[in-house]
Amino acid sequence: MPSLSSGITLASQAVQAQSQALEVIEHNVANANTPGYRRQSAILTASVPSSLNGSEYGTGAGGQRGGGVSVDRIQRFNLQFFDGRYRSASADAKNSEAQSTILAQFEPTMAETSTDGMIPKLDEFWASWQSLSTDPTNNSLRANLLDNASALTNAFTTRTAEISQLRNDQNLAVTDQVEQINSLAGQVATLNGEISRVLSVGEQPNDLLDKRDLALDTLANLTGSVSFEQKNGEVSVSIGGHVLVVGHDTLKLHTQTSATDANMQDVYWEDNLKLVPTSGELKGILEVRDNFLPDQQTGLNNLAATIIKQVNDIHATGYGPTTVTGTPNDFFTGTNAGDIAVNNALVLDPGKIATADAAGQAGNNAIAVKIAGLKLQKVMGNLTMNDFYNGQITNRSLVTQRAANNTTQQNLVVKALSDQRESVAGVSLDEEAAHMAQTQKAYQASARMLTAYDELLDLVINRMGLVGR
Amino acid sequence: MRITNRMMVDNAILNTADSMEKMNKLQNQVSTGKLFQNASEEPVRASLSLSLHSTLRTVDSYVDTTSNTSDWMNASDYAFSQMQDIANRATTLIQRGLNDTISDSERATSLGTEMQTLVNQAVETGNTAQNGQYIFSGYQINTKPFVVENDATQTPFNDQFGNIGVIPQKVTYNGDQGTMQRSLGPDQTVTLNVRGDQALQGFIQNLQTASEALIKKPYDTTSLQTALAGLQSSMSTMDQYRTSNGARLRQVGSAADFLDQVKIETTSLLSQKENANVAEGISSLANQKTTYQAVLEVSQRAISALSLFDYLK
Repeated sequence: MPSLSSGITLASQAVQAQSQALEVIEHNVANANTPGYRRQSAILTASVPSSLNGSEYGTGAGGQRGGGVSVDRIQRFNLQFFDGRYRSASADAKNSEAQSTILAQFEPTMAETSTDGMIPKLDEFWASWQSLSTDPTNNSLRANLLDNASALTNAFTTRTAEISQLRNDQNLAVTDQVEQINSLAGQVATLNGEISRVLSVGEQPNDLLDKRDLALDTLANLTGSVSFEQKNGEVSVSIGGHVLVVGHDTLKLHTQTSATDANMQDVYWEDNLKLVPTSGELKGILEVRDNFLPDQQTGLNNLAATIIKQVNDIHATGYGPTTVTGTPNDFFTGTNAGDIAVNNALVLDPGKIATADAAGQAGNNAIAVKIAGLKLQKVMGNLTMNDFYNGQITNRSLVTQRAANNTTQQNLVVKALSDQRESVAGVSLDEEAAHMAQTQKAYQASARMLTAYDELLDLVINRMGLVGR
Repeated sequence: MRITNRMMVDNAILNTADSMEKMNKLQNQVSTGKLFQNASEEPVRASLSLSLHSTLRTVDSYVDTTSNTSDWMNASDYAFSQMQDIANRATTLIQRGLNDTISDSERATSLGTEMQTLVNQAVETGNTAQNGQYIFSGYQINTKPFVVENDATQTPFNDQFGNIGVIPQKVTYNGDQGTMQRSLGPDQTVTLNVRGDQALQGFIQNLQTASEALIKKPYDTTSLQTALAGLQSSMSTMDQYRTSNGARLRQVGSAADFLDQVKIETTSLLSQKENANVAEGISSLANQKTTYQAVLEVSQRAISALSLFDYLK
């Protein structure tokens, strides 16, 4: 005969198991919007059965008696394989996105398609020489030339300033990100410790794992880092083959002034190797800061240097009404896009602008014609200055377009992978509602069972043995 | 596939954002009339558009040059036509002077005086200025090209008015040998000016000589005849220069026509490359608006959809 008390135990275990399961559902519902949360599920299992004892033999029953229900473990829904693929795709997308964001800032500041573009300024400069050549003694045309020339030099210097401002901004972003990476690496190391401790006592550190996965996601987004899980549940993280986190330890990153550019900070490991991010936001930022923007500056410098040299070479041989023979008479001063300026002597005395190729010939416009003609001369390799800069704009806009397209496409991949991950690990409220109802019913039924046993006990204790009373 | 609430919401957000972005692009195209705002939206078109704009600005600067150039050359041509009138009148006067029926004093008073006026007119015409610049003085556009002054190398003469030892006058050219070039296009230049020393100096000098021959005492038919011959030869020289100026003026005119043509073609090409088709844009915009409304409609259902929780009791 089974004892009544064992029945009560079984029923109360069932009530407990169902209420635990209900708590897990509650946890899921509560965290439906928590980033990085993976849904959990209480896995119920039948308790260890007990063998029938001697007195029960011969009553017709055979085999073992069920021991009720218990919560075996709380399962965390996760697919390790998805995580790896998701992080690598997401890091690539972040890399493109970082580039695209900076380039999208860069393009409007250059304003090349508006009348503030470099090409319109160049055209106006050449056109001013052309008009001066048609009327070399006209002082208002000289003033107009000086005006357009200084608009041109401004176009160079503001572009240079914009580029260096943008580089400085990215430099700050690099410093910020290094701090962020160090802090995340520290988090992962700490979580590693807690997770291995929880695992070692045979428990499931589900929420700690969620936290660590979130940190690993963010780290991968920043640097394209990859992680490997070890047998004790700890993960090791590495960036471009260099270890960032192993067990409870981290190797920190730091910034130091670049050897090639005193204004820029490079990122180094503790052991003084240079960080080479394989992907991620940091890579995108470094790519723009260290390759794209310097290339743009070099192009701008080449153009400025060519204009300075070509114009000055011709201008120095010419004469204006007040040119002092024998003194150098350059049109531009400076050597690159940062310091190009109109020679102040000409600003003070526009009569020093040379238009003639011989002294004392007011109507002689040979120099002005020659300088105006520079517009169409292939002085930069086999390109005119306009073509060269047009090429630079096209190149720049192709890079910008590619970055934007890559971002869109890679984000689609990330979206698909994230959907797959979400499909496995995300919380569906309808599902939870159904499970809730199901568990609630089971709980109610178990409670009724408890009542049934209670009544049986009541019968045995209070009403048995009262015969003849 | 198992769909969670968060996927529904994320998708709804993504789709509305996507639709909004498309609408924004169309709206920009329609309101600015341009296919792109930044070069990265259409790099190849943008590059073409930049160089076409540049071509237009170059053409514009040449258009200015051609109009200045033709103004100047028209002024030269007008000066030549005045000189032609002067020459015709001078020829008539000299021919009347050569007529034997006219008395010496009449020749001097009526013909000689008028001839002197013609000389002054010719000098003035030779000193024509365009925008304050002398058109016949070569590079020396700030210097009056022609001045009449005493010629000490010639023997003084007596005139019919009783003046004794009148010093013959000569026409001096104060300009230089500069020929100014103007660009009509990248590889096309034209000579702007006619040099006064080549075209006009001889003619004015011959007028002066004729006017002196008319008043000289005693009257000398030979010198008047020589003056007439000289005048006629210098008239034909002047005519050559006028013709050549006219030919160059036509060259400038055809260059201006060519530039206009280039401008029209470039502008139409430019509009093909960068202008949005507004009619098409507006209808696409209307279309996109409908799509956007549909997306919003679907999204609000996805987001606010009742969940099973609402039905469980």
